[in-house]
Amino acid sequence: MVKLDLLAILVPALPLLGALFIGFGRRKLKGNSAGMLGTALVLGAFICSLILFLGRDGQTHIVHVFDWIKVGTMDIPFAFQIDALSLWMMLIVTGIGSLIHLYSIGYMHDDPRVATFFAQLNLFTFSMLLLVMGANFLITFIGWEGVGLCSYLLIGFWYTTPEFNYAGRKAFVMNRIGDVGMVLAMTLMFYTFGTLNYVDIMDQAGSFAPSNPLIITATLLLFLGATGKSAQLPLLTWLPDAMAGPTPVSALIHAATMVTAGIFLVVRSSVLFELAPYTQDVILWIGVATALFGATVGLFQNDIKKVLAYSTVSQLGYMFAALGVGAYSAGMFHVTTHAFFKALLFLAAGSVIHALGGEQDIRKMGGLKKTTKTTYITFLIATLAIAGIPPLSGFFSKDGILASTFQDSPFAYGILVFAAMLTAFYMFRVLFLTFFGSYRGTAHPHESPKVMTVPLMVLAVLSAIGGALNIPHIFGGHEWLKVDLGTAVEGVLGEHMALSASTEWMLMALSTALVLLTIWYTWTLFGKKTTLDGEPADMPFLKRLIAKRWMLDELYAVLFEKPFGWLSRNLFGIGETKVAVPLTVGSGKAAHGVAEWLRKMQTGNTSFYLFGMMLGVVVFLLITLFTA
Amino acid sequence: MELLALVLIPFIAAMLLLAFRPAAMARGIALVSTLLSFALVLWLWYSWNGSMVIGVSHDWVPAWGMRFVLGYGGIGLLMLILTGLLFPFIIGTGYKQPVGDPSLVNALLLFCQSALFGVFLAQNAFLFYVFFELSLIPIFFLLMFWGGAHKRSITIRFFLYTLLGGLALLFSVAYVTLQTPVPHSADFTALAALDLPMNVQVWLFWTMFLAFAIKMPIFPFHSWQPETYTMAPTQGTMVLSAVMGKMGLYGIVVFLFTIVPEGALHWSSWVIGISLFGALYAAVIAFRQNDFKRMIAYSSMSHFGLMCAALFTWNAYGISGTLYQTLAHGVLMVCLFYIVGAVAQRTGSTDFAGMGGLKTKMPRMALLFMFVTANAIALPLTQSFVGEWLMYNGLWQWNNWTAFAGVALIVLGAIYMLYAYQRVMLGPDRAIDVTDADDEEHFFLVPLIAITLLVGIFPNVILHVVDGPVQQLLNSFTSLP
Repeated sequence: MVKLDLLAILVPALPLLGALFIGFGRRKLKGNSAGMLGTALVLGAFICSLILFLGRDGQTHIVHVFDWIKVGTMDIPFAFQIDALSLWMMLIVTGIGSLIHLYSIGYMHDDPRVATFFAQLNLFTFSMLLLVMGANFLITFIGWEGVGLCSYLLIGFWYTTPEFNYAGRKAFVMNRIGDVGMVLAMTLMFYTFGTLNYVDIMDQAGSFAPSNPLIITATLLLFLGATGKSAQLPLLTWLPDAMAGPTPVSALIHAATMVTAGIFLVVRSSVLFELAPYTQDVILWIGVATALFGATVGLFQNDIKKVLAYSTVSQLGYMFAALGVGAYSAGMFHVTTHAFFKALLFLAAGSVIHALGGEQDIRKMGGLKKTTKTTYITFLIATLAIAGIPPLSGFFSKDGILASTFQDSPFAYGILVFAAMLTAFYMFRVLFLTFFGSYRGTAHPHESPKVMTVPLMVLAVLSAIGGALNIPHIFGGHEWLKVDLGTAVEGVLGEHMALSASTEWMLMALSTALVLLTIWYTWTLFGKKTTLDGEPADMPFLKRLIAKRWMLDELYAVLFEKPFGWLSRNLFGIGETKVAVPLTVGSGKAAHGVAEWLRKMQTGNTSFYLFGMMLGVVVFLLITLFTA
Repeated sequence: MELLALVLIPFIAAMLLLAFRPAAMARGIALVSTLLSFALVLWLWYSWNGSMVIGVSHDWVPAWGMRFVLGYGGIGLLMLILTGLLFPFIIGTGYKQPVGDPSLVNALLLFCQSALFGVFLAQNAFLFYVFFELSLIPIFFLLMFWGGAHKRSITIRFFLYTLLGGLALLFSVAYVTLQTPVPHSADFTALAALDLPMNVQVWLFWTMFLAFAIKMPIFPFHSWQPETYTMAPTQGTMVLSAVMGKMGLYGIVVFLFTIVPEGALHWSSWVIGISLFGALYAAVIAFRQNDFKRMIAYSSMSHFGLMCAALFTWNAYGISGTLYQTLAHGVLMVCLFYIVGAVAQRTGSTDFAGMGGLKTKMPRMALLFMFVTANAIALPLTQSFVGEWLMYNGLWQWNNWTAFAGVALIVLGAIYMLYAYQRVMLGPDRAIDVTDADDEEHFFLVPLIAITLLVGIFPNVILHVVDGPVQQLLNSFTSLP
């Protein structure tokens, strides 16, 4: 047990040490030393996680570090929960994390603030580990806010550009709107259960009847938190803007790990969500709507990172759709494969951007498959994976989600299949425009250094074979991941596939055929383009709307941003300047005025005083007369 | 005896400064005095056994029940820690951001500290009142002599406004003292034993609350605050926001909750309502302020609104959370106003217009400011988070909807603080000649940031101090008829 405790503490402690050491020593660390150190520490955390993972025994272990908040009857320990779910997330975070750290050594090589970058990246890894390892909601919330801060810092890493700073603030504030839900959910749960420990809450929740209003409220509030962090409707507009950050940040934070925190949270509290069918419906339809939203917007974006960002939004929608129908292991499986292929897509896109000296517009790319061969092959594998081509990883994980939703709601299934076709379209559009045809830009493309391409190759292998983690029964697999997670997540083992094998085969064949058809169509449009037609002057209304991202940003500006600024200015300009202060000053002036007036009576004129006295006597007499 | 020493150390040091005017050494003497006081406070903390301690007890004006009684319980001790901890830093601000004649400025600050120790030690309502008003006088001179634009009119308005509250308090104290059995006693223990009729408690609540509401201040008694904070010299603003405002919260606990508990319970919803409204109101206003210092002033007012609301929730989380937060808020305000002063010193004014893009030339200051910002927006593992978390729990247990209103502050706080950070530090380099934070400024901010993080990670250190006393207070409520 001592070994488990020590390892569990080491996992977050190593990146924290890295953040502190690199952060405070940032002036002394020259060249690649900051990057090497940061990468080594995250790799160390990965090794610790791996040892813990290999030695797991299917039990839930609580590692109590110290008492954090203890007041009244509130007792919130600083403790970690080690079980199959947290171990799996730890592997993803530290595994993908070390690859992206390694890649960043090359990518950030020329940046003068490279040490600061690695300090913040390590701090992010630490926060993310707290998030997934916490034994109660509040420890998770430390990580939850910590990753938000790191995301803010890293989006605005190049702080001299005002738009980047705005994007960072936007991300943080939208996340905080979600956090309102999270904080309220925690206060409600503390009020209801008297504890925030996952184990105790899940134990006690068993005694609640399904659809208890308290549970429904708590789960809806938790889901509000999840929509903020995981960029679901309506809190998603920050994620595309977050692409302002360096590309490794987009890969690690805004694709592979942080944005999946919302999914983790729901899976972690699956017992509660199982008791709230209403919330599950909300999750399903928000997920489906977001999957469609992201996929449509991805169609006409020309910034390679923006396409990938909307693709992330869309894929997260898939994961939530799975959670909405109670398919937790399918959701977690897609979290895993998505971490592989989306991190790869971003890193490969970063490699392209690096090769072209910062160019992100796919209209100015083309023909790069010759000059950047490794990048091209890895990007191709990731694209095939995300499109769901068998036998790559995305095929299995997406198929799991589609099959689960089909038995719950064929309509949702239909939308998700349509979104999968759109996914294939926008991804292959990017692939063809970037790597096929002939080069349309002016830079001199060159392949990235080994330190960047090696992580690409590792991720490409994972994207290709990652499906093996959870091969369904119809392929003769044993759904390894599902069985493993089943030891930790309530409701996973109960997820039974009611579909007959023939229905499953048919659904699979249908979606694969439709995707292949879409790819062929995309090839005819973009495959052999050597020059690009200009945008037609009069696009149809729907296309224009989608190209403008459904005007969501504009809508929020009109609905919230501008009125809030107006309110802020006017509460001060009117409420404070014209009312509050003048009232105080006025009351002083009034007192002064009364005094001025009273002073005038002190004329020094004896007859005036006598007159006043007589007047008083008369009034007094009259009063006594009439009241007598 | 050590309690009397606590009041006397700063007083004597101030008198020495006034008598000898050692201009060059004035700050050093003042710093030694405050460090001595802080050491004494730490010793009191260390030797405290969890119960009420009475140190000095002396007759003063027996006919009026006035007695010179000094003592402390857990809640008073927390206030002593706040005062003891922050004054060395407030004095230390003068090294880097000097204002006026050092002998005079430091003497006034020390007089103020002496009175504040008196307020938090007084166990007699009259004595409390005397110290409460005494603390105002040095601040009055500080503002009058070394304030910014319009210092005379703003200072007089501030002085009269707070004096008005003080008079209402004096009247209330006299009134309740006369209700005690002969011989009258204004000791808090005697007043707490009073069982005033409900109709009296209902109006007496307001005559007492007025003084504290103005002192913090909360909406709508705040109109003196933004302008006073903005024009006051940095050290004056620090004293006002970090320590003197807390007299209001402390006063609510020792006066309202013990003397007129039923009246307080009766008006709780109203107080929570206006406090929360004021908190949101100030937070919205803070967003678009053009002046860095005034923006912090509004953020302080917003925090006070939340603290005051949570105090009236009648449960352990709300009250402990508020008390804990008094310290967190004090540390935060000293840090923030120090940074405002440090930046304004370099750019020539507290106006945001002259700032922006400073991070390129001041990376170290930007990092310090980021730590402080994290505390201001209450990120977990900073000091403020625990307090806010407890206060939201308190509000939730009082009424779910108040928690919804309160939690909106975590969004508003992020909006105005990050915008302020951006307007000061981020953006293209302005090509103005500024220097980065030097060792002296690190020497000031780093210990405070360390406290912020340490208390944020180990909040029980502070929560232990108030937990027991708050439980006792709550037990006395449950024994209400």
